[in-house]
Amino acid sequence: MASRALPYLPWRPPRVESGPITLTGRRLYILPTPMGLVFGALLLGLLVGSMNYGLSLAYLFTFWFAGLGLVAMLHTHRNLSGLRLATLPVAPVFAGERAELALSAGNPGPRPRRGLALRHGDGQGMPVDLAPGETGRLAFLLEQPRRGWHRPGRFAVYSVFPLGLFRCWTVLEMDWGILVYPAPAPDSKPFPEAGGTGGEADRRAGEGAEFAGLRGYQPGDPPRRIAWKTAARGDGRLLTKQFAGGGRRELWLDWQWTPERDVEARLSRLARWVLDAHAAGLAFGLRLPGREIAPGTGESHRHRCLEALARYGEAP
Amino acid sequence: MPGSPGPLWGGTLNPLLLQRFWLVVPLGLVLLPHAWHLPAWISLAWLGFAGLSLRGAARRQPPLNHWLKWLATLGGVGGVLLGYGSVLGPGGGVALLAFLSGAKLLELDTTRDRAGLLFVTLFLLVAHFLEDQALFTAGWMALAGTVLVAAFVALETPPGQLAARSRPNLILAGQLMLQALPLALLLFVLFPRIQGPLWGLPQQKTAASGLAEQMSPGDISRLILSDELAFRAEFPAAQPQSRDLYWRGPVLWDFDGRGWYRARPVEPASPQGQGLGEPLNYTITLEPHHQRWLFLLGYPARLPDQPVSSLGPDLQWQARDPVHQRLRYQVSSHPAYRLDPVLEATHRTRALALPPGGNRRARELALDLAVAGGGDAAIVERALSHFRQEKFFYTLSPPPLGESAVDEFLFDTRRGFCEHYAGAFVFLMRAAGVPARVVTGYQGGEFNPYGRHWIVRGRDAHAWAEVWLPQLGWTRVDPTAAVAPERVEQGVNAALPAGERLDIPLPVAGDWLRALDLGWDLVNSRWNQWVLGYNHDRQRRFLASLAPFLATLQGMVGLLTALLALGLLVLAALLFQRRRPALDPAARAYARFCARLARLGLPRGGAEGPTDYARRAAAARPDLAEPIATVTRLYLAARYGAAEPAQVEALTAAVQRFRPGGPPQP
Repeated sequence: MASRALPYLPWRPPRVESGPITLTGRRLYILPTPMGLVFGALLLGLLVGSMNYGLSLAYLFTFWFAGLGLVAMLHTHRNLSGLRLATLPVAPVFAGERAELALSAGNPGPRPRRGLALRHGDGQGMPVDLAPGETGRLAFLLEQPRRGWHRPGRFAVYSVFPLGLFRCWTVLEMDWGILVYPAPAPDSKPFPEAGGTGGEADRRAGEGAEFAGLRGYQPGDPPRRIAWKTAARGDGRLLTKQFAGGGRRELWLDWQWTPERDVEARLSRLARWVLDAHAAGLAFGLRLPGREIAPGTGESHRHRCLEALARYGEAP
Repeated sequence: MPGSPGPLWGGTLNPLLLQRFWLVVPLGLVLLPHAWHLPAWISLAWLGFAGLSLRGAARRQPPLNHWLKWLATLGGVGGVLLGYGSVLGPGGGVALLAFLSGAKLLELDTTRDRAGLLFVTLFLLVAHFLEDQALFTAGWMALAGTVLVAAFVALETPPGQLAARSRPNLILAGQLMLQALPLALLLFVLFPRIQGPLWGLPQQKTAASGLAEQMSPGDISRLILSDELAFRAEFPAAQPQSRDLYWRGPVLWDFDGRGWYRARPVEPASPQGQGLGEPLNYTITLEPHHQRWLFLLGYPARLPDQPVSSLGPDLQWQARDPVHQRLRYQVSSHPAYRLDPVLEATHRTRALALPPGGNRRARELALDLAVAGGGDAAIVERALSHFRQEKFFYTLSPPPLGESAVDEFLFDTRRGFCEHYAGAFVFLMRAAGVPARVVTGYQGGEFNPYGRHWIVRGRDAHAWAEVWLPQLGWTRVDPTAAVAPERVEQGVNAALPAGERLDIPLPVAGDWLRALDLGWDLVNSRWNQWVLGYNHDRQRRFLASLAPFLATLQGMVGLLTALLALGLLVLAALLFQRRRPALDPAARAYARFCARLARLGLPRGGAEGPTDYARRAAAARPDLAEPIATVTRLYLAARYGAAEPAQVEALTAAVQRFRPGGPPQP
């Protein structure tokens, strides 16, 4: 991914970091913004005018605004200096969506910090204010056109507060990545039929089977399989009813059985099926060339399957 | 302003309107002082634009058509061209920019537009000093500048947050301005000033003020009533008497039957004479009057190099260029002098010339004065007696005079002021065969005891006569003083009849209004001298008085760089310092108590609780056991009990009393 964050000294490129970071002067760069350059040019013009007309007050106010620029520089630097940053988990997205990359930003100082923002070559964050002692969230969005595991690369934390005349920034590269699932195929197609079993029967798999026992509730379990009676009787803990396959064939989402032939189209189809099967509460397994995920249900199972699709073809 | 909203702070305000507001208000504040000298149509157009802009924002209207803006711009350029003749000079340029800043209010859609407008506002702020550099203007512009800085902060504030942020932004702007002020003063004092303009001053306004090269009836009374400041004068040594201060200005040689004027230069070019007695040193700060007169007392001993000037044979002193900027010069001159012991023939002819006819009665009176004999000095004395003995009145509103002005004044109306008396007296002298001329200038002035300087205003304008007497040369005669001695003793107001007094406070001792007036005059005088008059020469002199090295370019740049760096470091240290958490009063009092014990060699251990500490301290100093126990008990009560103010006060008082001195007791 092209990364045109803000510039940094070539002999001090950002390292990939994982831990919390405190911004110190060594990390911070500061330069005038284009607006600051115009401001400087204007002051220069006013100075020349003051000289020509010999106007003492014009000198005084020109110098006053020049001093203001210098003071603003210190304020801009102070606005970032001492900021504490740490990465926040990145939620996976589907290809074509935008991933949000976020840092937690802590303001340990006694003064408010204003107008803090992240900038990436391909994404720009909204400015955030932090009250003294407050910890907030700095984020930017990145378009994710392709599936896979992507590192966002370098980005900058910057601020032009208070006057917009100077920009203070630091360039960071965090040890994080974005998992991009394949974009699900837009249309729903019946689940694959294997060995003559009708799709209709498969869709009910796991329901007509025999009751096999209870296990602890996991997020993503379909509500109709929660043992409500047990929950009402007991201590409020939710349990999920387990059914044994009972000789019925499991639902396998298989690379071989997709109607499409193209690799990406196949992955998209499989992603669609995984989503549909998960939404329907079916237990399903995934079979890819060289990889097989045993049938299961639940959020983490869905994620495991989608991740396998996302990273299909990567070097192991 | 139309469409101005009610709640500026808080409330649910249209963010777009508020954003507009933060652009219109600083621009309006900066333009308000401009309105005094800008054509009214520009001010009105600006108000119209501002109203349209705010209304558009309030109703969330789409921006105006492009051709409309172009039409407004063209109209503005045309109007300014018609009014000023140019859009490039300072006058026309500022006027056009003021107009266009209004038109720009209709087009503020991008951040770039808004930033551009703020830069224009900044430019207009500084450009106003072309017109006016008074102290009040400086204060106003400092205020407008602070609002402008707040507008820059507002530019970086999301519009949705502006309502909540307006007040913090203003406070922040104030802090920034205050922090920038020391740097500004450093630059102001040490930035090397240059001598003279870079590319030449453009045409200045030449609305001359003050004395003119002619004296027609009514000229001086207009000046007396105008009451504007002419100059200030400082005498470093003893203060002279008001009646001796005849500030010499234009000398008028020629009479056309109605007024006195100066028809042509007087030859030769330099005065023939000598000063008598000790010269007087003084400094004059002359207000710009756009003419070339410079003022002095008597006969010069030493004239300043700057400004370039010339002194005529009649002691009329003129600068080479009109005085467009406040001018400060130092003069040394002799109040007593002898000028032209021998009168040149051309001078004599000119000083005796009168128009051929008219003013018959005056000529007859002059003959009467002359035939009595006794020499020219006796003629002068008899003429002055005539003014003293006949019923003449000093008034600023004399009845109008007709064709034979001198006759009517001397025999019919007998009411007038200095220009009438001086003019009539010189007429009489010439008619009696005594060479005479009119001198105009200022007489007296007001002494400011706070600044120890003299304030000379328009109301001190005066005209007197000079007659040439054998051996003595040109001698001053003030016929006004013969009629109204108060005029030269106490100023024009004392000489005027009660109904005519000028609206100025009379010199009454202890009058606080007058004290305020004089105090303000002092502030303005210092402002003019030290701030506005801080030019190349003054900077060199001031820095040389600190250290000679500083008056060089290297010295200035070196010190400026060093001090700026130091200033920024100090500022950075102040800005970046970690503020220690504020202690509550009880903890503060206890900390003071611990510090006092520590001075006795009993510092509190890092992990030592107050009770343990008290026990250890009391064991070491049994003589202090009781106060230590009291303070510790009160501290524990205030800190960990219900913290009532009374307890905290008791603790503070106990610590206050705890002042152990001397070495540890054995």
